[in-house]
Amino acid sequence: MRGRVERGVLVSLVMALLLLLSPLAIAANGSGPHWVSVEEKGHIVVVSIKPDKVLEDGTPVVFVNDKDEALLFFESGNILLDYAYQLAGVERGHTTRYTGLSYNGPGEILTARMASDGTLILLTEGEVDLEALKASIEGSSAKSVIIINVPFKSNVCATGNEEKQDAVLYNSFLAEVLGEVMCYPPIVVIDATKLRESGHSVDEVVDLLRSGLGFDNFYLFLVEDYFALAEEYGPEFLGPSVEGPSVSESQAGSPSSASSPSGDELRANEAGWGVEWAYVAIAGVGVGAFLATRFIKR
Amino acid sequence: MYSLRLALTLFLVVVMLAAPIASSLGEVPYYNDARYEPRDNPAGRYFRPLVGGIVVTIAIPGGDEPPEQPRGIYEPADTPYGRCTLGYPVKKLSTGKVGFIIAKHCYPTGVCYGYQPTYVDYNYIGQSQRFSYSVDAAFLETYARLSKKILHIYSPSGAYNLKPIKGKVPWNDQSYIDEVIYKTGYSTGTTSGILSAYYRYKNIGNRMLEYVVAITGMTSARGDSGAPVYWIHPEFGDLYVVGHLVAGSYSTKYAVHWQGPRAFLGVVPLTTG
Repeated sequence: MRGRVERGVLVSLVMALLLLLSPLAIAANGSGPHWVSVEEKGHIVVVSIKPDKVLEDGTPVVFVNDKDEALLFFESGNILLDYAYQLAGVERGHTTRYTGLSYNGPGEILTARMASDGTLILLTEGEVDLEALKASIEGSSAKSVIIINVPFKSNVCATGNEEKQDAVLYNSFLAEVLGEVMCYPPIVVIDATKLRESGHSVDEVVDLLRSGLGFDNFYLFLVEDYFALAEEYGPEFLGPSVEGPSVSESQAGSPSSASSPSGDELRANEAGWGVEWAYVAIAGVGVGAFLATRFIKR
Repeated sequence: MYSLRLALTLFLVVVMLAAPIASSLGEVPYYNDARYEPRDNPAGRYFRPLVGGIVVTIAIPGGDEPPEQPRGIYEPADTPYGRCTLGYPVKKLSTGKVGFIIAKHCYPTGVCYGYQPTYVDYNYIGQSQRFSYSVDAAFLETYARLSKKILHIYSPSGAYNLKPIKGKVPWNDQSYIDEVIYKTGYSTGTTSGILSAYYRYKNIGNRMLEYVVAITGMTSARGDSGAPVYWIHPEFGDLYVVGHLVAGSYSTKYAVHWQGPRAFLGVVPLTTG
């Protein structure tokens, strides 16, 4: 009987541990969204977008039904680059510009960053010759290389065709369904729910973006309930520090607004508690395990 | 029994290993952030000539008690509305008039009046001439003298310098991705983050903004709206304008690139280069 109780305690503890560690492990291992593709080609790791579907005209389409994946669009500046950094175990911002490359092949290297641990992170566009790139890297101090590659050229954010781009917002039903347009990688986000409600098809959207508005190549992301999520989790305007007619000369210029946390800071604090609670939970499980050990000894 | 103890020991080891993983998840890198001490806020002081990164008190038309005496060039009675930050100095291409970029969402009306630092007649600096919701910007034409400089606070004690604006960071230049950039705002002083992405269109507060730059790991708060965002050359220390701060979410802040006001308001940053 006592043996069963001990085993029961042990099983419960192990299960609690697994439950506790699984999200941490996912975060630590850099498990990304379903549309991120990672391929190892020799000494080079290539990170790119793996579409769910390719339309007849070649437009890669990704369906995002998962809320957490959709939230990446609000909280991640550059989704593929964030993922590449996670993969490399390098913190964003802890790199320097790297100018030692002598690559003359096809495609274009948009930027090169070198981490202090020797990880080279490259943003490339077009069909890059990996062998030639590898040869140019071999003489450098790079220990490992991660490439974030977009295999096609895009004019989504090019200057000079603003008029065409503005037509996205002002001259079509796209204004009702367009979520955002990221420059690199070129991603056009459409609210899939709104698109269905509008009665228009994905092909119509692509046709408008391409022939009507002059966008060349892009990944089309169809995100369910994008606008609803944007309202709940998206960015907000910072606003003035004091509103209403209450600013007097004595108040103006005082730093009172800085001492009281804004909505932004409150949200940060709430998120901070997530980590705090993880600590408490880990400590709790640890103490429980210790007590269980004592119990088994007896 | 031995195997049970072994299992529990292993379990404790794993739990101890998990703690640093959990703590690392909450880390955000910062660089020389000079968030000012409450009693020593250079961004809240009086500056003449005007520079970017200092407080501007916004007033809107429609005050209950019109002044008995005309207050200067512009006559309508105004009501103090709130405090934001003067962005970067600009010149309107069509007229040659100069002023500053401010965030449009800092005031709800079609026009606003700027006072620096406080809402007193003699602190009046100018009036907004043109605005655009698409780039959340307004051109505050100033009659008070301005200089092509931005306030840069480099120490938490409030030590600062006025850095000349050497140039502009080009729109959508991917070589600046992952570079450290700064902002100086009235509420949180000079803080830094990482330039992480460019957006041609970005949904912010369910309003579509254009020419948006995403910045990760930067501290900001209400009152920082309009703050100039800039890059400092790591070797030479020269300052280059990126844009003005407008919004934020938990980990990411958003600025509008100077190309936006150029396209929508016809103004360009004033630089010394």
